[in-house]
Amino acid sequence: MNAKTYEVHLEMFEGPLDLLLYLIRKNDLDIQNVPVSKITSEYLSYLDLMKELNLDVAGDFLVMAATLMQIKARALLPSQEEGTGFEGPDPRLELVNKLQEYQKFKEAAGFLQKRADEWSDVFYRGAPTFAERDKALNIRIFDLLATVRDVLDRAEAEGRVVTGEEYPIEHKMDKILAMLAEKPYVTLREIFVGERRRKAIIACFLALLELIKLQRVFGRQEGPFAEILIYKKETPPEIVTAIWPSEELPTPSPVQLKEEPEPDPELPEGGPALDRESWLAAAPDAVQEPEENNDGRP
Amino acid sequence: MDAPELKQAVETLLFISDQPLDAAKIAAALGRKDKDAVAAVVAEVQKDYDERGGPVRVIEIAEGFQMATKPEFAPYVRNLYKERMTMRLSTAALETLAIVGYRQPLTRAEIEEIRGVEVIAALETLLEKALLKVVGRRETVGRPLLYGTTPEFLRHFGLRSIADLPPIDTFKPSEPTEAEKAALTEVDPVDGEPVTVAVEAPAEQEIVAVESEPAEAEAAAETEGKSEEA
Repeated sequence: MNAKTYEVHLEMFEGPLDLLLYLIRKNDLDIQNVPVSKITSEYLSYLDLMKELNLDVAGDFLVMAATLMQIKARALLPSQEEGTGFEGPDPRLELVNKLQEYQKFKEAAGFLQKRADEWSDVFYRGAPTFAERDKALNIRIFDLLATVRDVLDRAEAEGRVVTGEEYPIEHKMDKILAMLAEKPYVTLREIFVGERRRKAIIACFLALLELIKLQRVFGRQEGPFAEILIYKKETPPEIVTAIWPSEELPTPSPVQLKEEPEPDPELPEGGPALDRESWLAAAPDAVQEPEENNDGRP
Repeated sequence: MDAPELKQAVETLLFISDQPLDAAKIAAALGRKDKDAVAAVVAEVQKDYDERGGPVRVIEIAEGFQMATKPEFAPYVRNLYKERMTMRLSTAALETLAIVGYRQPLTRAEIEEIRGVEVIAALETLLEKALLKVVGRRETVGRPLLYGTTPEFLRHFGLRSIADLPPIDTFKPSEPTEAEKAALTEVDPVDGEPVTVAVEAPAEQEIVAVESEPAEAEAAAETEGKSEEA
């Protein structure tokens, strides 16, 4: 027979403890007084069988085999005088405790399964979801730029000069994602909070555009001149923040930077491209929104 | 806001919410501070629905209240959403959930210590399905992540809170499952004979029933009734 022609993954035994419990139940043994030598030979023969069937025998199974043999060897040694205290932790007792503990959780798992089955016929409302088109960047580019302009103006006012600092866009991206980890959305302005210098603000803005491009966040605006809100896309590269799952996770759709019909001629080629240098150079002049947009938001 | 309007507002919120709402959340949405009064209104709405005997109930679940369909109409809901997959959890996933449910917060290594086998894959699935979440880090070497259960965990298993889980010591050993027996009966390498195990009452029936709301108990009974018919 050709060895290794196929491999089988058997999920029936969840691990060595599971196999041991099975053997104990099968032989109707008392878990407290497991005859180690009998159970060891059975355990090893199952291990052989699993290997023979080309089953993937995990290392955990082999470790357990070693433990069993250790216990068996210990039992064969002449018993030491009682109460000498040389013995240290009894591996047999440890194993029995582990088995008993695991068994409880196995039963608890069965209980959960039963509950899940009972409740599988109860349905709840799905989340009110954003339609896919709402997740595109439906922001007026001028409002976007006006906000940045406004923030930049404030930066001038505070004008403290620290030279020789770098503002990696990656750091700013991390900052924005960190803000969004705590709440569902932030306002565009909040993203710039704590940024004093023009370059830092611009790096922040570029970081935001990059995140939108990477579909990690999206922006929404209720209407012209309304506050721009930045939301996190729910497809989670970071499962750490376990959001309440909506019935259907939105499949990421291509987010396009929809430019206004008449794009600002002073913008660098290709809209707000991520060419940092040209942006840094162009920024102060590129944003020429009328004053009316400074509607004095905090 | 007068009383009838308040009641309708509460009902509206319960209707629209995709997750359980507690009195505090409802009160906040209504701009009110009298959480207890709101809780009383929620109870009224719940009672209304029960008395009306309609297909939708307001149930207490996952530390809040939420509208839910009655189990007897489940087949039609399933028909309507044929293409949607039901969440089916593997044994590994269920064991991991049980361990986290009882021992949270705990680290991956601690889960593995109990299961005697690695749990990375199961853990990832459960995080993705939002049944578990990272709740912090243990301040020891390596600052390992600590895991805990989510509201979705409670909802999936029909629990009002984690305290609804029966004490872990109520669980007693059970017989091998049919699948285990079937799979190993034919290939018992030890004595070469088919393995037969006396079948006793399934252990599930020994388990202390979770204390339930009357409505929930009814739901459970209905579901059980149905599964027996099946």
